[in-house]
Amino acid sequence: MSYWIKHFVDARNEVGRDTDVMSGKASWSRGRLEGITSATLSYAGTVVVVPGREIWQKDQYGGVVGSTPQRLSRSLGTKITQQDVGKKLYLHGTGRLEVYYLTMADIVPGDFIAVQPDHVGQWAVVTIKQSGKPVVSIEEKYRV
Amino acid sequence: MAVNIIWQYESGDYISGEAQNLGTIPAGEEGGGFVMLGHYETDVSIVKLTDVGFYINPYDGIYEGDGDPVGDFAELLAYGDTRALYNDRGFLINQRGYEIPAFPDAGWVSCTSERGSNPDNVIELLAAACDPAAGADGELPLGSIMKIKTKISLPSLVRRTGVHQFSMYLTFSYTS
Repeated sequence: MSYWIKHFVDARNEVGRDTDVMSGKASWSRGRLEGITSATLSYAGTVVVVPGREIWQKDQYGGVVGSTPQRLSRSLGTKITQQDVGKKLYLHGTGRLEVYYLTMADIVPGDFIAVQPDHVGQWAVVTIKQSGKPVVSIEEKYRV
Repeated sequence: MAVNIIWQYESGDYISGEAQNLGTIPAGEEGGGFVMLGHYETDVSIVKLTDVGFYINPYDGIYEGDGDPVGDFAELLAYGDTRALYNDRGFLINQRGYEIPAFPDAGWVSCTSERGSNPDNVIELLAAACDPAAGADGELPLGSIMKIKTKISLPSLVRRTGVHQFSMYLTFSYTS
């Protein structure tokens, strides 16, 4: 089951399961966007949790011209703010298999991306590919 | 169906995912080109696609060429790479069909090892390739038609003669 969950400051949640999204019963862009504190994305057996005040979700599709496109990946992006500068972006795995948290912290272990001043206004994005492997990137035009 | 892409020739006939015969192209010449018109339909009110781009991949159907799919793909990309012998040839896309004159020579862009070779490394759809024009490159608004032309250009010295096959892909993103 693939889904996203928006977590809000008033402890409410908004869920978009694939079946609800496909039938038009749930929509990220037409749903609540104010007061988000974090979001959860589940795809290909992997779950990622991303913190932030402005978060966006989208799916990437691809296919041979003339054929039906297939989903290639799902992603969550959080807008980088001035408060994030100097911190390190790190995808933190938990004790549970295939559950990851995007962390912005001063000190992190392993591989990380250092947030630079010119990253402010850009997006820290976690992308889950069909293999289930999540990757972190910083993208300028994530939500357009 | 959340998003369905519809491709047509200028004649109005639909383009299917089946193999297209681009004809015979002599070494040192170009050919095999045709104009494609694309738009999308949606049943869940998706107002635009983003991150729209084109790339090629090894042929994904039943291979009937004279070499192998990976070799044909690598050969096309190599012709696109800027080198003394090849110099921006291979598989090219022109997105400036709405200009006058349409599809000017300056509009051709090759698929290379660095561009247009995988879904993370595409030739981005230009706003000017859409009618009505998109707000930004990489966007395809609902109801807008993208118009592109493709061709193949071969160097005078080709790696291999015979039937080649490859696949052209479209990639895009959208938010539900």
